[in-house]
Amino acid sequence: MEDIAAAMASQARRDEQLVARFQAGDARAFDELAAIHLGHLFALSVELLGNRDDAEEVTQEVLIKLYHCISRSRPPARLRAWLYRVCVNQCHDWRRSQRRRPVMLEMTEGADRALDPDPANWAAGAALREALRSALWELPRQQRTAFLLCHFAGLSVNDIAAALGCAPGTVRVHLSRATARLRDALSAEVNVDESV
Amino acid sequence: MNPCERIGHLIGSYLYGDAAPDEAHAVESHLAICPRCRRDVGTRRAALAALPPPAPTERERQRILEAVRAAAMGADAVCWHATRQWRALAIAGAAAAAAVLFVGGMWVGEQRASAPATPRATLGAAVRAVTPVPVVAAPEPMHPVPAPPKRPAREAPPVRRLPAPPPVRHAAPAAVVQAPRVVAPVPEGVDDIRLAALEE
Repeated sequence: MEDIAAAMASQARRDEQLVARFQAGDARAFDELAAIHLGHLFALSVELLGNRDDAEEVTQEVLIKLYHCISRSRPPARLRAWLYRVCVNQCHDWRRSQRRRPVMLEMTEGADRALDPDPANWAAGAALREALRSALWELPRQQRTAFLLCHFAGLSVNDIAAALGCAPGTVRVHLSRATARLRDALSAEVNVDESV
Repeated sequence: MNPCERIGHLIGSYLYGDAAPDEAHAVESHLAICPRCRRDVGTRRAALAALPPPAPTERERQRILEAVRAAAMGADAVCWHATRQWRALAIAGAAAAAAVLFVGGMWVGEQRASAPATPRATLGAAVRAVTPVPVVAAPEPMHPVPAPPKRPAREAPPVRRLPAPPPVRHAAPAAVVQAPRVVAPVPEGVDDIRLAALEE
């Protein structure tokens, strides 16, 4: 557990170092920074928008905002919290501008194959994932966003609290309720090993 | 609040390794003695493991990075680009003005070269020849209108000719404009004195 906390701290330090290198004139540092966060931003956008094309557009815009932010002024104190808050806000703005409700994105066969190399497990894996993701979509928005920031973006509780503008204790409650909802969905699908 | 409920609020952050050390210790101590919570944590962990993030394909990743790079290059070049645009506009405007002046000068030169010695009469005739004279034809009446009765023609009154103006006498301008000089009368014998001085 300390390893995970240490990993989060080292990620934050790495971000700061890359920003410092970029502001010192090393243009490749931004490429590295964008490559690190691209996958997380994309995953978060896909889950919030339910559309891969829209998620691609939003990820581009968020990374462009990151470029402008660190090239024109001092970076925010909590860069990761700032970046993912921008992403969440951008997704909400995008949904409003498109005037359509997000729908749950169905996983394609190619995505299933990428997750599990054994074809025998594709159907069962896909059914389980769809059940879990359906449960996720039924969560309240703030709770779901907190869970996505933690699970897909790897943000710490404090960063999520800064990103969503709430207390860390609230984030902990959100995470516990979200995982409990997923637990219920999984229990309805399969039996789980009880060992911790 | 019983111990299971108290621990339940920490399980989310505990699963992600983001609980404070004392909180993590409390959770682990409770899990060691509570099979129900142990089962709970195991199920949540399995659910999270079965929920991988939707990763971008390599093509999507490349498209995103290329778009961001292009936008970043555009942002860097925006000042230079604006300066360049203004400079190009200024050059284009100066070139257009020079072209208009040159063509206008050529046209005026041609007009002057082709004009005859008596420009006023010829130019007026040319203008009249070129200008279309609107001809309005009187509409024909739909029904024949009887001609009005003819009146006896009256004699035209004799033309009164004005007497010719007297010839203008051109007086000498100096005599008209300039006031006559008042010359002091020269006393007799002065010229003789001057001549005598010169002769000497």
